[in-house]
Amino acid sequence: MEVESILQKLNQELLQASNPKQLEVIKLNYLGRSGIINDLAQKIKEIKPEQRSEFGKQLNLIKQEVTKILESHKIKDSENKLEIDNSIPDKMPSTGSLHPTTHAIFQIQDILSQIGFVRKRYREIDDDWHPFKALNMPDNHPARDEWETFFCENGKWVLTPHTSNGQIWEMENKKPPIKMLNITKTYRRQISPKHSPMFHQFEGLYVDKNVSIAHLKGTLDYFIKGFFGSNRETRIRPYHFKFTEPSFEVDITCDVCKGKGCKVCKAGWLEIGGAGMVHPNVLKNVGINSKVYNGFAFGFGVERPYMMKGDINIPDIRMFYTTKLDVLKNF
Amino acid sequence: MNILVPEKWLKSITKTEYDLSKIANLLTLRSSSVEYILDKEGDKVMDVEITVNRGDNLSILGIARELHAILSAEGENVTFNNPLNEIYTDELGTKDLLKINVTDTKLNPRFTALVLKDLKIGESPEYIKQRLKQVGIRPINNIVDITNYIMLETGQPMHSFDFDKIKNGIMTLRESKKGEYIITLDGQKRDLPENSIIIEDSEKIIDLCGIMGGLNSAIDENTKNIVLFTQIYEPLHIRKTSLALNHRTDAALRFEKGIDPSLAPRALLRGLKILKESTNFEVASKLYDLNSTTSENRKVALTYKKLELYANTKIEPKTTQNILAALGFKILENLEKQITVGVPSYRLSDVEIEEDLIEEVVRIYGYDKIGLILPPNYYDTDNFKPDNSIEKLVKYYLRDNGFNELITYSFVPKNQVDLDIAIKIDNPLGKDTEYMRTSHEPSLAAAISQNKDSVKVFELSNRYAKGSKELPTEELMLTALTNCTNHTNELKNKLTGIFKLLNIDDVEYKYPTNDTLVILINKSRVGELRIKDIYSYFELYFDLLVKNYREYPYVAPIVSFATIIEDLTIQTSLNSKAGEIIDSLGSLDKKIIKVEHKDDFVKSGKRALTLSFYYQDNTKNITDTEVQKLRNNLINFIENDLKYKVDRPS
Repeated sequence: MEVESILQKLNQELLQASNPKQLEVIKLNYLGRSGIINDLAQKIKEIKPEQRSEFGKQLNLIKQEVTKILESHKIKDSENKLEIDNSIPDKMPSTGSLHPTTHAIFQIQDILSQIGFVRKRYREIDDDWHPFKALNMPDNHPARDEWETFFCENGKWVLTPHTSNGQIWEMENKKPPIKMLNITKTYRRQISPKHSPMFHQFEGLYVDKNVSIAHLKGTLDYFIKGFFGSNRETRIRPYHFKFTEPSFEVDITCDVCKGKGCKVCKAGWLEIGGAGMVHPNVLKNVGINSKVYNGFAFGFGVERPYMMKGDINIPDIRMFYTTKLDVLKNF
Repeated sequence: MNILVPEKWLKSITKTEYDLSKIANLLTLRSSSVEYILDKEGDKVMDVEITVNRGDNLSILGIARELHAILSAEGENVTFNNPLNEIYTDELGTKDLLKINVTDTKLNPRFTALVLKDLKIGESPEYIKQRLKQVGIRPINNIVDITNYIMLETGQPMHSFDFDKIKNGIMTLRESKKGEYIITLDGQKRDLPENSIIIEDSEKIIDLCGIMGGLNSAIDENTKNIVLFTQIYEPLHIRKTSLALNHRTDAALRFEKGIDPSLAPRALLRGLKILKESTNFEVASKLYDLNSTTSENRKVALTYKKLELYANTKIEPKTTQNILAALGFKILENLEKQITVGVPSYRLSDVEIEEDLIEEVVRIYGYDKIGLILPPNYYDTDNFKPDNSIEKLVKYYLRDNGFNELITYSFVPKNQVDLDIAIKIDNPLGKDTEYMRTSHEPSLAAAISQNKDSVKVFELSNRYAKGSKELPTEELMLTALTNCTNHTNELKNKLTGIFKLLNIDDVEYKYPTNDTLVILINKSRVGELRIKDIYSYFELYFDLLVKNYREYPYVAPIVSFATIIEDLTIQTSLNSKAGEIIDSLGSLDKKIIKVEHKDDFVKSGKRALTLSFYYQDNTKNITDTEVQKLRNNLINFIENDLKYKVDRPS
């Protein structure tokens, strides 16, 4: 058997091979099903029986040698081999975006669910009872003026101007203790860089025995620190809503001047929303005994607090509600 | 409504050396919010926001009273000089010069007036003019100035007529009738809404009550004799007229919030006292005071236990009593567990119940002195509903797959709604926002023209429809739209992804028409995919996604026997439906475990459809012979039943 000549031929061929494809062809030529080694093996039939054992040994030897040579062979072609280049700028993966309002809502519902206020969605188009009468605002009461309400179908319905109608829906369908978070769209007849006729609000409600203003303050503080950062302080000050008594307006410390007072804020404080202790008339309207139960409620906008975050640069709330993706796609 | 409060005017009533910026801060925390401090006409002026329930605070007197209570509670030594104690005390006239006829005392619970004669129209004293200028009111003459000054100081609007312009001294107060009008002081002709409160003499309307006087009875430089009067009107009438005329005067805004019923005569005499500083006059008439106000002696009780519950801290009975007394409440009964107080006349419109007193005490005590606690938690199975997590799963999935979320306006123009069900807005901001939308398609399709590149957008929002129920329907829809290449396939692929994500298995698409696929889960409709020329969109009922959502996937038994995959290319027509072909081939034999669409090639009016077939036997390794048999069955079915040709492997 021409062992030597086979190996010599192999080495020659390998020297000429300059790329992995050629190497693959050589491999097939020697070790493939109809390669040189298999061809040789076929010849065993022609060998005299007493010499076959020796032939087999030789064959195995060649096979081992060829395999070894092929495995150890590396293509020496540094000229055409690209080194790993980590400096190629990455392409932006083709992800889309979530609406900024959604980011805000997700954050709000995550923070408040930690303390048991789980998000619901109550009505946007409502009767007069839930957003007004049941909330202690009788017909023609001046307090109704403040809401800049849209009416529908000749006054049959209203587009709810706040999320407080959710308080009534919740209490009509549930017995205390009640914890509720209602987040939906709300509507008011107003349009300016700070006001969109459609916007979102979130409303918290807690009704139980022995609820104090301290519970409300704690809940507000928890939310504000979660949403804006643990360095932000909260305060409540007297205000008026027909459906709470006492009523409060909620302020947080200004991030720009750190509470010292600047152009953005009022003496270091930024107004963020309304709150109060549920008015006994409201409880009465939904059939809850106000001698046994009381509660608190708060209602904030969604977009405005989000716009008040750090250095998010959204100067005009109406940029939220366009179909132009220039700004929105960043979120 | 905001009012301006000059520092010196305020401190002339509540005497204190306290710094104004500290006063502003305390007022904000304990009473009414001070929004700004301005420098005006030589004084510092606070701009204070007054809530609708505090008509009494729409006056310097009201703010001064609050400040007095606040500073006293802070331990400051302050004195309070009520200007209503400094009134005209000379003798009044006795003559009956006016013929007053109030047709309905409900319209006008209190009518207080005096006739002054032989006065001289001139300028007001310097401090009056300066204070008026500080609050943004132009001084006119001593009479007009007095009416403004008294309203600002005490909260009681005051009006003056030229007595000689009132024909026969007749003042008849009644509701207006259809078609009547008045020319008001500002020279404007105003067509009166029915049921406005007006005063007429024997021949003309001379006053649009509570809102603005008539030009025909106004003071001018030749005026010698006047009627000075202070009133109380029924708030709703004033409010309706003022809103209907869109004429919201300072007087109207005060009347509709309710005026202290005891104020009218005292304010009138206070006015006289100041008027004396600029002119002599004779009080020619008797004091007219037609009073039908019920000076209610309202009593409200406050239990210390409830006060402590709200405040979460013990406020001493002595502190409580001092606060209430400083605000003008009369302590009627003082028991160990509760006190009962009389509500002062200027607080009758907003203090009715125990909670109102709690507010009074705790706010003056200081909300900032109350601590922070979190409410306890309790079980509520509603909290375990998956809606919110499904919303997140779906939104993040679409975002991660290149879709941009939009939130578009719920109101749209008429041509974008289904008029049979659409809800019309009575008072829209414009024609293009007149109806509540019945579909999200037009809003999302607008993104195509608004952006340069092709878009992939989605929205999760309600659509609205009138229904047979008392309230309209609001359906939360997940809508996605794109005009990218292969837009229909792209959306179908995302639907598949969403269903996979929510572990929803039994999904079918039905093809009633060429431009609509109806999406079914467990044989019931959950939405549609609609195909337009340049874009496609799908709409899914979010509630039905929630209903069909499975928390965990169906885990198929693991089959360890080999799967053989082979492709067949079928020559079909251009209008063939791959989905129907796949469905029919996939159900031929249970050993064909999956059929996938692999490729399409269109040439010479023919569609070469390449499908991948997955063969598997779940009891043993499938053999070549079996595969051969399956393949032959497939080819037979395709050629004999579907009547398409199969490309034979060469």
